[in-house]
Amino acid sequence: MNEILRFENVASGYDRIRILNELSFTVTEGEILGVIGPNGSGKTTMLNTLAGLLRTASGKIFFDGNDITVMAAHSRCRIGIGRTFQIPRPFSEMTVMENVLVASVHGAGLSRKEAAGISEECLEMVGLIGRKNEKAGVLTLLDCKKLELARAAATGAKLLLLDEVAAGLTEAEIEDITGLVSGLKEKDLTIIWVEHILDVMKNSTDRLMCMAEGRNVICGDPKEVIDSDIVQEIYLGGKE
Amino acid sequence: MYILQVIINGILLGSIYAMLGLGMSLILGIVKLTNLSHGEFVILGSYCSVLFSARLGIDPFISLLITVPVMFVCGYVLQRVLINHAMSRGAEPALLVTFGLSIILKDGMLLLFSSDARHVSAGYSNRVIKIFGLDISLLNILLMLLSVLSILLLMLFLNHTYMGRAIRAAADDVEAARLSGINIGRTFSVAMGLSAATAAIAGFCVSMKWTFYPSSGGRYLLIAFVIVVLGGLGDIRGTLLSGFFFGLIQVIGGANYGLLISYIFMIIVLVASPAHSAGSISEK
Repeated sequence: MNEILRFENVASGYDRIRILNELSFTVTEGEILGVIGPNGSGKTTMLNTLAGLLRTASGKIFFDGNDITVMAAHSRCRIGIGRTFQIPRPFSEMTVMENVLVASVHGAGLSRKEAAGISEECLEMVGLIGRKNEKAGVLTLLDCKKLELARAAATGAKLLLLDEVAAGLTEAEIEDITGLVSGLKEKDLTIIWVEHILDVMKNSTDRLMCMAEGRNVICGDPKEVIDSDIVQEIYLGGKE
Repeated sequence: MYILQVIINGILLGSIYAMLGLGMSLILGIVKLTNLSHGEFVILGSYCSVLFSARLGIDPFISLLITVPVMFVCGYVLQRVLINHAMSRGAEPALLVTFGLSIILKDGMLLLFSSDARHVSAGYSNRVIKIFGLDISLLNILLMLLSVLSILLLMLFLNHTYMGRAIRAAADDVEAARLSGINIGRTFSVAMGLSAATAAIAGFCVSMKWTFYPSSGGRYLLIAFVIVVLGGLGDIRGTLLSGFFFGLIQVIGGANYGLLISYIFMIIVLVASPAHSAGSISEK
């Protein structure tokens, strides 16, 4: 299996506040890498740095063998990095279909005809095709999260960044979303999945990384990582 | 009969005011920037009309075919090479840059065109036609048709083209738009180009209706601002309605009280409904 992403000693943050410190990890093509860590450990900052919304202060990021450390966010999207938000951010005044169309035309650089086809496919996949002409602003939380997935997939992403897609959902809804994510994996997408819910991470990821204070503390088999002393201590407040 | 005459004149005039506010509203709604050089854009459009129609000897309306594309390019380039860079350093630097730009444009026009009052007229400028016994200026009707047509074209562009959708997406959420692969710098530049193009059309209307000087921009910036506040930022239909409302007030209040009454309305709106100023570009 090929390596698709590599972080090399990456530091970044907001203004003078450093959040990522010498963060290093790799992602293998086709896997789901789960990311856990206490609040403030830099999970979302890592995603923002990877998507290009934040500048890298030092270190390097390689995607598909290319150095993308200084690349603009929209260009990263075009070479195949798609991100979803923790709190869904659909373009609420546009229809569901238009939301996905924008992503497929600008993100994947498709022609108009192709874009319409791909957009419908993506909506079909997440089960929103029946609501494609409704305004995105009226969708429920679950549907918004599905739309985020469809939009990220429509950009032609090879690497999908999921930011707490299961947060705030009921048990049944979580199963629904988890199913969609495994479906995406079967379409040969590589996924980095940040989530707080340990059960979901344990069962649905191939490898799990735990972050603390902007560093990669431990990374490996999900069950072993969650059971490790270090994770028990920093993430769950120590073993009883 | 007199009241009907007043209402019709107000609405005809109002379409010009709507045009004045439209460009400013676009930039506030999409780029989230108060463009303090909008008034100078308008007057630049007026001078372009003088230049192209008088020098080339063509009908003023035909000269728009040159003025509008020229102003679009000016707006696009200004945003691309200047304002986008200022915006990456924060909102205040960008605001100051537009203020500096307004001074440069004003003095530039003074240098090029002198401080003389200008006006554009055509053979039909003073023609009055009778419709149902009402005296209506032909020029006012033509300007209204021009404004309404421009606004319709703009709405079509925003709602039914891929660039238009990108603009609406960027207006809604810049970060999410970026992550959907939208080139924000280019999108903002197109928005500024559109704003300058609508300012050019407003400037054309100004040059046909009234006299203007290089320093007239400030007055039109203020009017555009009132219209934008009354209509809701970035809301095209709101801008249209508030333009008509503004026109009516000007006709009813006359030269003495028209502007005063409008400013009072603006203050009432600002005080009574601060949430009004939070808006995004409407797609309805």
